[in-house]
Amino acid sequence: MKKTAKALVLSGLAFLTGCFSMDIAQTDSLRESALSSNNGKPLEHVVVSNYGWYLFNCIPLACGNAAPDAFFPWRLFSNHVTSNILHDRMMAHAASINADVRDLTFFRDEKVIFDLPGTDFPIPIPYVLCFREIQFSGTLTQRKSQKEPTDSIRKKTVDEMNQLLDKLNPEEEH
Amino acid sequence: MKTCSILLFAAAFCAGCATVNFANDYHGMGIEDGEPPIETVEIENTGWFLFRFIPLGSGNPLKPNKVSCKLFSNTVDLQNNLEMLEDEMERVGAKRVANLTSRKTDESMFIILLTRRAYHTSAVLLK
Repeated sequence: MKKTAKALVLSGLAFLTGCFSMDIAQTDSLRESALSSNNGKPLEHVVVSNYGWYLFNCIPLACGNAAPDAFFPWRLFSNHVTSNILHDRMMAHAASINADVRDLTFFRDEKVIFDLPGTDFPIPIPYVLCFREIQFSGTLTQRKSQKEPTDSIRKKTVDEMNQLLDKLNPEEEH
Repeated sequence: MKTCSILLFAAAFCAGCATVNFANDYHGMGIEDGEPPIETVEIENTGWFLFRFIPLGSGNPLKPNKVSCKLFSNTVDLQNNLEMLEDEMERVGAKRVANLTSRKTDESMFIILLTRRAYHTSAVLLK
């Protein structure tokens, strides 16, 4: 009986720990539609998310393992719910398929007050146990630098250089 | 009989729902490059899970905005939301999509016993 209770508590704790996920979706109409005339064709829509539990809002207890080579899906006493790590994962995925990122949005959720299980009564002291979640959403588009010539950018740069030289040496002709 | 009705009532609450909402009155304003869009669309699919991962019921992405759900299967994912967006694009004749964003939310009852998961996607549809 005690073993069963222990197993239940342990499995409950495992469920309570964080979870990292990277959801990727694509449809034909998304690929066929350019987001606007100046941008490449969309390839994928991606949502990266991770959440975890903290003691006093600063000590990480457990969170999803966002490492690219993660063996366990969770990580104890280490903070992986950071915008840097999730942003890095999304950008690494975009780079791996040679894509740019559009419509990048950031979402952060924090809960610091919890009800006692099964009741409407809050646990009287906030910030004892805290929940934090971060999500990034974006659309990966075909990399612009590979499909469009950079002549216009070069011309603009040359013009800017000439203007700068004109300012520095107003008497000389270029 | 009483137990049966309570169970049915609970099951009705545990069923998910897929919805597609839109707004299309822009008062002549342009959203993307000054071009007036067709509509702004918001897609939501929800489902209920036991212990976070056993699906009890979730919305039917093939029949959004209707009383239809899929029992014991998980349809709450990004791919289904994009497919609902694709259907909406076909319905209104949109060729392009802008400001595409998605977000998922989890709400749990009794810690992890019952979890309601929702996936939201919003976008602006253009000709």
